Amino acid sequence: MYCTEIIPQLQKNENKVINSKHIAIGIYLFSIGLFKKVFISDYLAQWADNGFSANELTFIEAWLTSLSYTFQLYFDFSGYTDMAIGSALFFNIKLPLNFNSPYKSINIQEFWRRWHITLGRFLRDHIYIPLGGNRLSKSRTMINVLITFLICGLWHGAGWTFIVWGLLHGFGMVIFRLWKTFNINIPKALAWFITFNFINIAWVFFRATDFKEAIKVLKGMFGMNGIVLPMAFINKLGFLENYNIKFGGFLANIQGNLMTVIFVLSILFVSLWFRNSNEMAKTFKPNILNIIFIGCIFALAFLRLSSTSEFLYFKF
Amino acid sequence: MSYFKVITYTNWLKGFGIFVCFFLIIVSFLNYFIDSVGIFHMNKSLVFAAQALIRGQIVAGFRNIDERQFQQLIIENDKRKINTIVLGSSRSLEIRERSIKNIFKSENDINFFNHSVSGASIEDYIAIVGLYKKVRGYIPKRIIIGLDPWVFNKNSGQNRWKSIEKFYNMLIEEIYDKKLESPKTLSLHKTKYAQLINWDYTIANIESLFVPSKRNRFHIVNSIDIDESLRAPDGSNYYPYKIRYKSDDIVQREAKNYTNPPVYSLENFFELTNIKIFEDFIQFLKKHNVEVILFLPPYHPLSYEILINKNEYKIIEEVEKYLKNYAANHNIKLLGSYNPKTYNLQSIHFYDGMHWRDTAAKILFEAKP
Repeated sequence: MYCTEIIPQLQKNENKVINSKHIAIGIYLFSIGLFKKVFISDYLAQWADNGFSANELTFIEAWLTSLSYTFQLYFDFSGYTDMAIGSALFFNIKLPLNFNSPYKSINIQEFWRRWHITLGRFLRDHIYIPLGGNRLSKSRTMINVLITFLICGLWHGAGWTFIVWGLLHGFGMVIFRLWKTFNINIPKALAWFITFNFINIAWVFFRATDFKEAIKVLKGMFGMNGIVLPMAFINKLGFLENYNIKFGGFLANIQGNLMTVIFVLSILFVSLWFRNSNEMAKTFKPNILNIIFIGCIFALAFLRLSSTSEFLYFKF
Repeated sequence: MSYFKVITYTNWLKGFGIFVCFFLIIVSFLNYFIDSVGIFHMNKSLVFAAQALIRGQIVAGFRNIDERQFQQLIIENDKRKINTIVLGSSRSLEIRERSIKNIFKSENDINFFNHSVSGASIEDYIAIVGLYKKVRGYIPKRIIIGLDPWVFNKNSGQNRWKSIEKFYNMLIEEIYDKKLESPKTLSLHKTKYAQLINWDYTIANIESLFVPSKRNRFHIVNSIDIDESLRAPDGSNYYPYKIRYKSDDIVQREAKNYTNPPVYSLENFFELTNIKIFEDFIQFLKKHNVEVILFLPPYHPLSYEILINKNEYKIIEEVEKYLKNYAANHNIKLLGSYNPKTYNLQSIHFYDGMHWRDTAAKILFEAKP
């Protein structure tokens, strides 16, 4: 964010008083952010960490590993952002929106308008536009997009996996721009499916410590290490054994169980169908129901803090 | 009263503060009074279990207990003169009286007890010997010390010994003839009362109320052939069938998973620490004419192979080398090896990556590597 957004707020005299409305909304956002971090992100972290550090992953394990990380990152980062926005509100400072339900995006361009909005804005203003933006030829615009995303990757970390992640998004953006010129409409559900899976696969490179680790997860996701289904299905689906599908500990390598599947799918549902915390904060009403709701969320998150980890996105 | 009625923001903030405080107070009361593990109150069922073991009975129904407190109760209540004990972690909990009698066949007066506790650290060994010295007035004449590599890792994260810290401090004063500052972790009271608002303890307490299988329901059984977690009269452990009869396929998979970071208590293990306190403790025991035997519990072949090929864990080889040298230089008997190949142990001799089965005991305590 820019200092021009903050300094004037600090200088305003009316911001130097205690504003109970801002404190209440700040607590509301802070509590939701803390809850996202300690209850959702940290739960997902165990399966993501186990998966990325496992020696080998089967099909279901690999998908749950990548999805766990995709949502871990989202809830960790958006939780942190909610807490930052909420804390700033205690002091009457309004920080810009940084997240707007990015996984609801139906194309990669929309994703970057919803994900880490302040970084996207910074890269646009200080890299993309100075390079010429879209004011030059089409091919030059594409190169500018690629350079911007390459720098975006490097901004996250000085490693080849970050560069690949940035370039993947850059190429995704270029392909989307080219696609737009054909004016072909595809169903929204299909557009979402393609976008979400592209983002999910790209996050594998973002999370992996090296290419070997990334390829291990991707090999599993593309079924190259076989498929293992839960033992409970063997009676009805036992014939699949003829097709090299095994039955047994289907999440053994990520130390998961049926709860892992339910949890990850529930989080996908919440990410797609629920309003985000900023939208909820806009309609916040100081009533008893909200005291109970936020009070429970805050107290539970406070209890859970006794066994939590540091913020994933802090280093970025 | 309408839950939807809009109130002033000031009143909302007051209501929020009161609600959160009330919530946390209720949780604290819940944890204090349910206290399923017996952190705040002496657990009567634990006393029952300790007394039953001392009477020579097999006790079933172990779930989640303060193992240090349990050992304290055993030592305090046992009127027998125990002359051979095992100190170690869960990796030494399968050392049984019959294995020891097998080593010392010529002796007829062996009174044995296994005092191993999960995740044991050097402080646990000292505290348990301290308990014998201070409560019973003697030190058993033979002590078998199960030494896991993490005993020499100051970053092992093990601080459960704090529940018997008093006895650790007592023995330390005697070893050094002065008060030694105990390693810096949370003080006993802070650790204890932090459990009042601890998430995991709250869940454990709620589970103990509503899920019968999560309760410590100690009962006496007549045989070890029972599908429960058991303690034999010699203090050794028997796992429930799910673990006891685990298939080798699953064991091998778990053994591989075991090496996924973080590896139990082996993280940030950059150098051997606790050497001085370990050597001083052994010298103290020898000064009191105690026969010390060191035991190195083996790892599963797959786990060991992976661990020693990773830079961050290969230090376990260094630990073994140090202990072998130390034992040789001080004329101390050493049994076992972290390396399963030393005794030709196979996957079938393990429950998982780091716990050996009864079938391994025969090899470990009879064979000469």
